[in-house]
Amino acid sequence: MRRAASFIFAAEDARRLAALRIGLCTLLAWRLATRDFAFVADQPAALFQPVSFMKLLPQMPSHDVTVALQVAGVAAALLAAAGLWTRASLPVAFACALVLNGMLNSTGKIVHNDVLLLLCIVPLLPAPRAASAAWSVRPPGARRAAGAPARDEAFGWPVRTAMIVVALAYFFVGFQKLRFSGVEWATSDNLRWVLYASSDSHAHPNSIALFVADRAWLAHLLAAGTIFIELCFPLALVLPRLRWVFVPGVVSLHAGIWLAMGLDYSAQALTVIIVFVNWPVVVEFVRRRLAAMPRPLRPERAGG
Amino acid sequence: MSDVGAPRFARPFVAVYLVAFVICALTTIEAWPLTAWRLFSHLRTENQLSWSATAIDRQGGEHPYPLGALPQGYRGFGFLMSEFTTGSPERQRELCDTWREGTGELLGFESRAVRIYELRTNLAQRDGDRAEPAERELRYTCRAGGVDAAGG
Repeated sequence: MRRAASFIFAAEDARRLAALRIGLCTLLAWRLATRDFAFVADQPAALFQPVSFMKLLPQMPSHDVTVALQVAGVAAALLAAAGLWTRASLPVAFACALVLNGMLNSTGKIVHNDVLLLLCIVPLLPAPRAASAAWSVRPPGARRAAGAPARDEAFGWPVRTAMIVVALAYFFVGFQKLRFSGVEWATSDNLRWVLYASSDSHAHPNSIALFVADRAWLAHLLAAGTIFIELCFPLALVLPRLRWVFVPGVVSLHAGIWLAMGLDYSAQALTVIIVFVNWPVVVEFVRRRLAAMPRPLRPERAGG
Repeated sequence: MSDVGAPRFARPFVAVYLVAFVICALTTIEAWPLTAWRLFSHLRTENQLSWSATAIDRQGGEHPYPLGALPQGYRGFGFLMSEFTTGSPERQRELCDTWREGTGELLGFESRAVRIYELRTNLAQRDGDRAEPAERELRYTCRAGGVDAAGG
């Protein structure tokens, strides 16, 4: 427990937390702007299957309310990404996204596409000041804060909490497969039937899904690999070098699911990248490379 | 902002958040956005059961009614059918009336009835790139004022 606490409350670069704010809020703005939430608006009351806090609503929000939530959510998320008025913009963006995604979850099925993004924003909500201490736009009329932001515990715990959330999410996805299906999830023809059913449900057969499903050995290998990556992802927390394996591993997993089944988990894949990449190190690396590049020669001006 | 440390509420906040996260996963509670993370966790077999619907117009013509692909929240048709088959007669009638009355807006005509078919597909029996056509069996007919099981 002490080791977990020392991991979570380690000092971190202010820019790492700022990168989390910029990345997650920009991604949220993009998802709120491009997803079709109006698809479920104005639903007849009998079909409303509310989950969680959505049970407080008598029925699905109307089309007008949905559009208003989208506009407010996108604007608030962009302001939060810029580091402007984060005390208000972060919670407003999160609340709008919560209701809009809650609507998609209230039609009879739990939708996981954007849930990891929302769960990784949660640790930012109680830390708006720390989250906007670096890489933020100054609000009009505001004075520049005294002293450059450095490394501190205040910048570390939201980042580390988000990393744990991602790791636990993948662990439990793998754990539930073994819990409800056993090792047969990988050793039986389970994945083949999933892929055949998915391909058959589309207007045009999916050649990638059929390529895998037609080869039992390949389906078993991919199923076993999927469970391995999901269950072992938490190792990336304690052995940072393994992030070079597990982060590309889960991104490839989501890319494969998208290509073979058409399921869009891009928000989840991007969330993993935003949370686990050390962006200040990337920025410093790019700066050094740019500084080391030979500068173009300027033509000498003729005197006189 | 330097050397200020984590705020006092940070430790209890993180503890409560992560404990809630783990409890929801272990007890399979869907306190969304906290979730049980059950993605493709059930074992699939080659035998697949699904549902389809058709709408009957005033002249008796039968038209495809792709409820699962329609807007305004009708897309949960497949999931609602598992509730429908075990639901009370009142709940079945409520759902049936909604689907039947939806044809005016969704298909452009008032329907006399909606027929719900059970589709049984054997994914192992392939015909080229596709499974062989599903066995279709009429299970329910939604008409004004009631639901008839297995035809009617």
